[in-house]
Amino acid sequence: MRSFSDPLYSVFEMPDCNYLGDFGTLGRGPKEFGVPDARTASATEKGFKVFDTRKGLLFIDITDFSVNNSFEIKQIRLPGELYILNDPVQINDSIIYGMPYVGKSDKLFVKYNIQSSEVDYFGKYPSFCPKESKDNYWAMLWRHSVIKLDGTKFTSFFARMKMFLIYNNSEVLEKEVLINIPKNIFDPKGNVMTFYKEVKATNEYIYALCLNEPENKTSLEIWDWQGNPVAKLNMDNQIFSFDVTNDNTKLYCIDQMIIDKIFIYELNSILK
Amino acid sequence: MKENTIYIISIVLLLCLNCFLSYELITIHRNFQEENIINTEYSHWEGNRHIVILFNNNQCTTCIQKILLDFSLVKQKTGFTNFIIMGCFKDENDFFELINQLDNEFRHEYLVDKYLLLRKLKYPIVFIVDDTLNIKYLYSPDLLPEKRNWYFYSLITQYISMKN
Repeated sequence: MRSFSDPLYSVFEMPDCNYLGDFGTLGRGPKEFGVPDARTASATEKGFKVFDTRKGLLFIDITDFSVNNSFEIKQIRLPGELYILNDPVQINDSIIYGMPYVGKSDKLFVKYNIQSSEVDYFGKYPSFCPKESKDNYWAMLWRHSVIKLDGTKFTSFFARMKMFLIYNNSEVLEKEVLINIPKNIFDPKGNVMTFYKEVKATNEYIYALCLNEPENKTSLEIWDWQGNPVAKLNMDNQIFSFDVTNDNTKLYCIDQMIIDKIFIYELNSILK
Repeated sequence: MKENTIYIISIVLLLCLNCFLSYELITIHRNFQEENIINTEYSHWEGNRHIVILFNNNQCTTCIQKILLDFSLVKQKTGFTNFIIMGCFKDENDFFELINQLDNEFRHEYLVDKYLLLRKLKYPIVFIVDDTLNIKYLYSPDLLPEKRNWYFYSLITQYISMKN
């Protein structure tokens, strides 16, 4: 168990994962973190960015960390309407997409313009969603979104059904891929299954970690940005979280059970 | 034809609801002025403009926190710093306990629970107190949520940028 004062982040030097140190504590101060959502963390040129449900979008600069263990935080605040924004992604310097509050909108996505402070909603619910089950949409359409690195597209992979959507940065749906929509999924008494757990992307591919219930066989699916399947990797270990290098050569994974190791996979031979 | 009728009825109902909610805000505003609360308790604010959030001990913490996020963002965008968190509570300790739970960077003022009007408020309200202690632009995001963005990022922001 970690205590309240334990550091939140450990820094490793790539590509060999040399340990450099730890930083970051919970709190309300200017160099502290509120409730950072690890699933939203992604690498930047100077370190990484992460959505904090209390503080908004945080850019953490660790360029000097190897010298003096220092770090800097730049904060982009979100308006009250987007308090505890779920599934947030930033597609460019101005636009953040996310999941609307329960009952807040009849659209799938909320869009926030950082410059103008405008909040807008877009995206239709899938056609198979029964109108009489509207109260269950929010929970059943829980998803994990990720952007294409060049900011031209984003995709949402759903947790409770095996499907995903690809949108362009004009908020136009380009592809809807339905693989397995469990029967009676909107029935409140029905079984809730878990499919997609985490998604990452490069300019070429989308990497989706899938639990594939009820078989419980963790696999890493690789799709291209047109929605075509590229590869499916059946994983031996129970991956908790992962990331991939921008050039699609290495996969870094953290296991659910073995918590003191980082697993590195070479992808060269698979994605020739 | 039937669909058109339903559509028109829906719009009329929506307009009526909006009018009703706006009227409720206007009524709160009028009563607030008549009770003379600000002039009585906060005469030391005279000469400066303040943006105030006011709530009592029956209101949802998330609603208050959301408004404080808007305050923070308005502060960041405009540089205006005179935001006040005002609580009307029976017990002063309950107010300070809540303040400690909230993420905020603003001044707070405890208001003794002696005004019936404030005890009856269902939602937190936001308003401006101008330099002559007049209350302006009273608003509740929970009564008229669709005006939230316009209120904080257009009306308030423009008001702040006007010279005193």
